[in-house]
Amino acid sequence: MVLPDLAGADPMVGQRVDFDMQPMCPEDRGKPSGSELFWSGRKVRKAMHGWQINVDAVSVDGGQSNESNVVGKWGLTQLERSAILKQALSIGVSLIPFGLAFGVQCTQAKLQWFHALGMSSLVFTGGTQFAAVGVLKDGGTAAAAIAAGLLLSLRSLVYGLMMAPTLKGSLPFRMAASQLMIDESIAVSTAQVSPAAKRAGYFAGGLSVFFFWNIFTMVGFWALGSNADFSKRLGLDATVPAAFAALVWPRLRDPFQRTVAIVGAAIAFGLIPIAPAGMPIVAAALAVPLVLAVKRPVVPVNDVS
Amino acid sequence: MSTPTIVVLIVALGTYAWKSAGPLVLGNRQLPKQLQTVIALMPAPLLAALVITATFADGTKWSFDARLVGLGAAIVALIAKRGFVPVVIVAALATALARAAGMP
Repeated sequence: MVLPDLAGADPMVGQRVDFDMQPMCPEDRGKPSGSELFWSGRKVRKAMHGWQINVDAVSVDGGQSNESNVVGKWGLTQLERSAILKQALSIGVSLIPFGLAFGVQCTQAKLQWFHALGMSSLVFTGGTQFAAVGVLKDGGTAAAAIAAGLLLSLRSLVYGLMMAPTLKGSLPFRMAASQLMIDESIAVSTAQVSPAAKRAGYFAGGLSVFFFWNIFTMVGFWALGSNADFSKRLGLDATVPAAFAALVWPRLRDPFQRTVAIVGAAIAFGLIPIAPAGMPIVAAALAVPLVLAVKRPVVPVNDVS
Repeated sequence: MSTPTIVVLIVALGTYAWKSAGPLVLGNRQLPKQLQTVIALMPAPLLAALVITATFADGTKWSFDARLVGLGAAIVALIAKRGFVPVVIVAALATALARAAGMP
């Protein structure tokens, strides 16, 4: 499916937008760029589905205006609104087990409830939270926990650059919007077509995740984690490596990222009994310059959009 | 302040700095290509390292326990193209079963 470049051109009601509507095959479309943002193949398909809904929203009945393509509240059509809402909710709900696992991990690291809540609301970046708390759990220093966390959230910098054109506005607006700069808000945003929908998708995705993520962090913390023996018997400590495996999985399709991941894993495994806790994770970042020194990516890996 | 409080605050500030640099300061500017490549490649080894430490580390010791069974089950589920939720549930189930069977 070829999409026209709609950047900067908000499709108006009554304006005919032509699309090349080939049969959609989610497995083949947008793989190198899309996979970067999504946590699992299922989400890619979900977002793709929404994308198609939005394409329909501006292309079907090009000449006439009816209920579904009238631009209404927030500059969105009804179809855009329902697609965004559906995507934002499902992406938020799908993070419930991850939020629970994080709450459990906080209790394993013997943190207080306000640390768990502070992580999920103030840090609000899943992988980063797990990394920092994981280091504390293994008895690492504050410096190692901070380094592990901030290395993993470094990609937010690239996301921010990517989203800056979508998030224009007053300084307070941009300051508030920045806190929602996470994988999921960007996933919902980039699945939309019109600039207004991209903006709405960003906030819907971000706020939905913020809600579910914080609630279920605390549910995990209080309901599941408080009894370490009980949570171990339920196998809840294994949800953490499983969650990370699911996160890294889509990246392993790219041979270059696979190499870097294997080198990183080997460094971490080798350092567990030697290095202070947390350092195995931080040191795994060295896999990137190490592998880059030996070989170059065939296709430059610079596309995180 | 306790160590965890310091970690939460500094990680929050640092992460917010990463998140907001684009919208607040840099605008439409681009990072140098080389730096972009390094940043784009960073999550793969870090996430892989987190899989490893969350499975094999017990403090600063290697530990080969029921979590390994859970990770194996998760990988099987991923190969079978299952989504995030089933992967996590399968891992917990497999680990719980292994523990019930007497694994540490």
